[in-house]
Amino acid sequence: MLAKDRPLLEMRGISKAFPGVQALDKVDLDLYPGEVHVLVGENGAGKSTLMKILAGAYERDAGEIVIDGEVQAHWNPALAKAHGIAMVYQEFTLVPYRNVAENIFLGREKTRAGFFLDKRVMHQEAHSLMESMGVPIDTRLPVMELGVAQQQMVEIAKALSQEARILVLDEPTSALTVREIEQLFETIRRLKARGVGIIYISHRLEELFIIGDRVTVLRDGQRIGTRRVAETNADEVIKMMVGREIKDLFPRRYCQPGEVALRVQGLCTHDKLRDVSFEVRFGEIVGLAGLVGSGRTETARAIFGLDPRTAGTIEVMGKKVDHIDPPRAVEMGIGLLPEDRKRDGIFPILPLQTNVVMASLKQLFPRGILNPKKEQLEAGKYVKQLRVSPPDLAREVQYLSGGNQQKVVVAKWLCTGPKIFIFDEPTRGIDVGAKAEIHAFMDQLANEGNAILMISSELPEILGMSDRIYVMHEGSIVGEFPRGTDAEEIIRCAMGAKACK
Amino acid sequence: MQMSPGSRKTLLRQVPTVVWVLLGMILFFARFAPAFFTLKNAVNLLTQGSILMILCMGVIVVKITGGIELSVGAVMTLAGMVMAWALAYAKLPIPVALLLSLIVGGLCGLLNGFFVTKMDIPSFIATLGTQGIAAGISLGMNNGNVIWGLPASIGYLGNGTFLHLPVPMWLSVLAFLCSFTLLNFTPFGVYVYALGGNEQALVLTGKPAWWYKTLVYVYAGLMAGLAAIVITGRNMCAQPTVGLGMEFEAFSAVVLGGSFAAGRGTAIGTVIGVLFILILRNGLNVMGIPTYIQLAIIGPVLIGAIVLSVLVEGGAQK
Repeated sequence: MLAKDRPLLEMRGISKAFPGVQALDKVDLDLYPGEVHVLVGENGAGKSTLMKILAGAYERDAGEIVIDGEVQAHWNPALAKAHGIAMVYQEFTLVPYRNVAENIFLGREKTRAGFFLDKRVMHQEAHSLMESMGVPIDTRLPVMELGVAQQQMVEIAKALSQEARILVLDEPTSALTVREIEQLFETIRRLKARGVGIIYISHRLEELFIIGDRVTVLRDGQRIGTRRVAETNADEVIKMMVGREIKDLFPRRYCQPGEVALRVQGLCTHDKLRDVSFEVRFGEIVGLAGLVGSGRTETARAIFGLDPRTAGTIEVMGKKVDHIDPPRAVEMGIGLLPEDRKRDGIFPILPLQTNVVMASLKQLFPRGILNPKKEQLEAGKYVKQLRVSPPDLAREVQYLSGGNQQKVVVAKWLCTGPKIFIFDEPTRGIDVGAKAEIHAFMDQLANEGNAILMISSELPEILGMSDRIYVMHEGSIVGEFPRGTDAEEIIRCAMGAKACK
Repeated sequence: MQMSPGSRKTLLRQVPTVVWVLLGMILFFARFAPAFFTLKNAVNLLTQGSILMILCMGVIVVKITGGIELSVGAVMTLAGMVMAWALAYAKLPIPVALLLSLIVGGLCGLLNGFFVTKMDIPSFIATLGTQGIAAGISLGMNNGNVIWGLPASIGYLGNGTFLHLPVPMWLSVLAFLCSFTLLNFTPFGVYVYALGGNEQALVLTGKPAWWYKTLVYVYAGLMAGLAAIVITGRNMCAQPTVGLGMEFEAFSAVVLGGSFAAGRGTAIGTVIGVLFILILRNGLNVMGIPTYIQLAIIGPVLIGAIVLSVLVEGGAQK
């Protein structure tokens, strides 16, 4: 038996820089056998980067990795695996049509005569593995017929079958129901008893106190502190997570809101949203906060008619809208700036000017014949107004920076003349300079009388830009806050720490 | 085996929709074309269809990985031309010529695999390119002419019988057994399905996914080489356009056989898909329908069968 007082793993002074960002700055993390070490931090705090370094997927700039007291001179994915480090990622790495046993042993099949699969042995071993985790699943079922929780168990079994001693669970409960979470925790307890060390990344504070032994808080790539769970409380952890000064990056000038532009009542979709109600007025920026997966993007999609709603009403400028689809939404003056620009917002291989006029071809060219001169004129107007750089109208948009691509998407919607803007993560992955410009522009749009719904995972952005803030948690709106609310209050609410008003 | 209340329904559901359509079609032809439902016609059909069957046994493996293989017809032609050239002009011994046919097929597959994995060209385009290369060389080899003058014994492979059944039929059974075993009973088969279902999963296990993907195309090429042996033996000559259009028939057959998406498809399903196409064509022939009208009938029937299968089976999964 290994000594319980010697750590399985120590990461010392790990640093990693990406172009323009110090993702990790001298971070320490250790893990003991049979321990659940929870890693928390806001989006972008460096949790994923740290785990990718542990898995060998990223190379570290500085620091050392120590396994069983031995400093590792070399580190790569194969060595990480050889030392028993296994990751269960948020996106599952299962092959949907194949059965449980095949998935568990993928790449390490048991064979007879070195060529033929030994299905009997694979099923036997897979079965006893699942039993030992307390989840007897028929190993002959294709994984796509399993629920999300069971699929996750298969992922964990896959990791354990590789003799994992250090298991990293990245947001394991984000897609699970309450009962499934309980099952996962039961499995985790069994693994602890077997001496497996678990690094558990989570956004949910309540889980930390149920399953965690210690907690480490990261913020802006630095380790803020490590606490024994028994000796801390939610308030302290939240304070450690937020702690930073909200800098004066946000130029929001408040103005008196006007009429209601968009009113949503009791909105439901069949898989995600439950009874979502809120309103946005002209001249107002309304922030929609919440964790990843809380239903914010789904709300935007439902309003825009991308996902069918099963219940609820949507009113645009006081008029009830029975049926809504994207063309209708655009006609009514709603513009959606999607979260994933690359996929949903731009046409990367088309030139800038075509991207800008793409959504308003009908208005600009009612006779159905394009006029490149007019296209240039129209696009040039917005390119100038938004200071897209370089202002080369013929340039393919794929060669612009992220910030400028976002400006192109904004320009596209400006061109259609909408009055209600839905910004989904408007500044994700954008450098600081362009960020400030987009914020200034949103402020201007609102002050010119447009209504803006802004979805953001960045708390400072929510706090700095919003006139009012709604918080979502698990598909429902759980709180509404005025401007000037405390960051801690919003995080607490988004994490479902308690019902809030 | 445990019986649950729903198991009978499930068992019925497990039979692919295309099988019902196939049975319906057989009944239809048996009713309206007396010459159709005879043993002689059945053997005839399976012998003629052995070439498509062998090609499909390679194509299905590519299709499961999510690839589209459009070169098998032309590769078969080229392999046959090379084999006939080796026999008629170079006077090489028969076993060497047969081996050459397989090697040509395998090399063309390697070329496809190289394009797809190492140069990141979509399989559709890569195999179309190889198709062009193979078809061009086939035509150029003998100035667009047929190669005659093959040793008589080569005819055994295309027209002979073994245990009272035609040799091409045996070879197509062999091809089926190869793919069936490979897909169901070997780790390679698991990787083929993994490549189609979730390639990233295979990459993360540390296996050289690109290499398995390449091998899949090589395998399809080898099957094209085998088909070339059969068709050259049957015709006793090599025609530079013999495989024209075969890739589309093969593609239709594997899709009909249940390979609607990447990660899906089986060897048995492919047999059913091939039979479907063979029977449809043969039945129309026996009924005396002119070839040009046949084409106009086959197209819509194929699309109808595939749409029906996708609707029924897609619904059953939900």
